[in-house]
Amino acid sequence: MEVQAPVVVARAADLLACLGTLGCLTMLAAVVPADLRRAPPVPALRCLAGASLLAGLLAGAVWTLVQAAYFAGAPDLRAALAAVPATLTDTRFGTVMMVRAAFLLTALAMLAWRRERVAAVAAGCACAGQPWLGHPAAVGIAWLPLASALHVVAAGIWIGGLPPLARLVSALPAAAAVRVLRRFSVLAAGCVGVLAVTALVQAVPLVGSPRGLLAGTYGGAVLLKVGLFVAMLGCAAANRLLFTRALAAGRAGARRALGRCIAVEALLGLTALLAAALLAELPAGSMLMG
Amino acid sequence: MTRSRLIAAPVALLLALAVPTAAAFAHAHLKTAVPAPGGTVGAAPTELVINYSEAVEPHFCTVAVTGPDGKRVDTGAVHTAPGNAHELVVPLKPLSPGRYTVDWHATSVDSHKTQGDYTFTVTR
Repeated sequence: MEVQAPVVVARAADLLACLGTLGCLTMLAAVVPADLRRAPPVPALRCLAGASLLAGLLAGAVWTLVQAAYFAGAPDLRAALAAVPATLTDTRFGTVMMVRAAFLLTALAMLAWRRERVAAVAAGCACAGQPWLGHPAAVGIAWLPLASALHVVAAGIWIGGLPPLARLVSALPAAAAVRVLRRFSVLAAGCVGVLAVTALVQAVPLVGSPRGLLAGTYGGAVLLKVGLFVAMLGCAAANRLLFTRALAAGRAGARRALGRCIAVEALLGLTALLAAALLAELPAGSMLMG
Repeated sequence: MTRSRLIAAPVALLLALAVPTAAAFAHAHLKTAVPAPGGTVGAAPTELVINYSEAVEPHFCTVAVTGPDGKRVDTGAVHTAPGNAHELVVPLKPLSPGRYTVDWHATSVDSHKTQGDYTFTVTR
């Protein structure tokens, strides 16, 4: 089976927008302390969350069009547009995309109404629909899509939270930045645990065996994700154990070092998300091994 | 984040992968069919049934069945079996004895497409 580059790109754009939205909303709802809600960078984060939500809706629409073109083998835009209604009404993909769009619209309304916790939950529900758009819900193992949904939500909270974290760390006074970093660190540690466990339980049926890791591009992408995860853990540990302490102690250059380390962590996370979008389009390693 | 946690996650993942398990299939692949691939049937079937490894989207599945004279003998209206989204049913026009070719294109619920072909023979 050939990998469809437009589908991979559309899926990746949708994943980035949705997980970025979840991370930003979770940051607003659960990480920023109540007394910092009016601090200068926080309103900008609300704008970022709103922009991410709109990007998520747009990316979903584009992905639906690209997927309809692929389903129908459409040679041009007109044929692709003609295939959209059937894609939305007659396929699982279409059903899931419409439900996800409803959750994103709910999140947008709740954000405008300053109900950030409800908005974050709605965005989490939108992200949790991802497994029903790929392998996990199709292989006939009941718990697999649930594990995958947890995996996606944890990735969104951790990786999607990094850009707003970098913004807060660069703009808040040192003491406030340290508080935000410590609160985020607790949340991120929980996400790391969820990611490790859910990656493990998904890998067993989807990769199958160590031979599955060596079976072409799928195994390579899995190994890449594991490597990126380990590298991100290294960045997270450096942030928590070195740079946050240095910032708390008022050491010169600590804020810049923290910002750089968070940027590297975010870049690694971005690469992991791109690898995840590619994995979703490839035959599972277990299938290649038979 | 402690050092032991940093090491534990990737090690646990690699250990889990070392445990052999039944293969989980993704994408729709032909498992069985009636008439069977390469098979011979006596009485002419009125429909062709293909069972896939994964649930399929019938709106975006096509199955072309051509007879010995190269003409299509399927009615073009495929549908899934009631209560079984893995099974695609293809109504057929009356078949005469001869060798038939089945060219299938499936779209699975995980949104991927697969294809294949096979033949079967009708003797009477």
